[in-house]
Amino acid sequence: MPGDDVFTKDLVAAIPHLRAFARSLCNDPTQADDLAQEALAKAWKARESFEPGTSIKAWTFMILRNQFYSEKRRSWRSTPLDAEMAENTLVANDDPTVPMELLELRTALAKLPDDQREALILVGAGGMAYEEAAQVCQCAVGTIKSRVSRARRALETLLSETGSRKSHADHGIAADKAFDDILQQASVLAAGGGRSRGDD
Amino acid sequence: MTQENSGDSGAKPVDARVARRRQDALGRRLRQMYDQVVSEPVPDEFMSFLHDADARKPPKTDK
Repeated sequence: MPGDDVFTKDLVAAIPHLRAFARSLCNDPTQADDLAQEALAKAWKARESFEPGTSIKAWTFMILRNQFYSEKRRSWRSTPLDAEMAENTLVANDDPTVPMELLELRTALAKLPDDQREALILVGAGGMAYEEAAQVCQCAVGTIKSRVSRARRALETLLSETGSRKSHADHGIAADKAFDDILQQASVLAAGGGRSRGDD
Repeated sequence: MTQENSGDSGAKPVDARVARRRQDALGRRLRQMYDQVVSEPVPDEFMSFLHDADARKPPKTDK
């Protein structure tokens, strides 16, 4: 019976997360599922190289990520997608089942540099520890931390721009203004505090 | 002299809290986006792959 050993069980349990990670990299759901399935197949073939006791999620994510970038380099099938396509989707959104907020978020994410986006997805969306995310991206923990905080700042700026562009209503402008104030106060705090805030 | 301006020390924590809440809001949206996909039912193709994979399971897998 399939799925009767620990490795297979853990691998199956990781599938929903693999799909979510793939979706965040590709945006296009079909392409994302193809990517996730390819990664799953690779993980299965490489099962001997998995070290029991380590995070199978981080391991499969690393495989998926490598797969994604090698395909991206090889063909351009996923290149023009991101920012431009996401923007068009945003403008043309008349599907009431897709919340505008989510589209805005995806559009803004697509505009981030790859390394910042993936770091924020892993840590901020997927709830991965910095150490695990560093394992996935094969870089230092400190690098992940700084990518996450840069991504967060960039995303907040992008989202506040989208908000003010989309709506000329008073509350949109007011929200934007309020956000500016918050940012200003935050930078005053950061400058005056003399102590870097704990970035969680 | 830990506090230079204890006069308005009440204002600062409030601002920090607002900034923090803004971050929390972004974090919540990010998690929602991710969790939405996680909670989707896994398409059958993923599972049929596992059946194939299981059939091709290499003989020495005692562990």
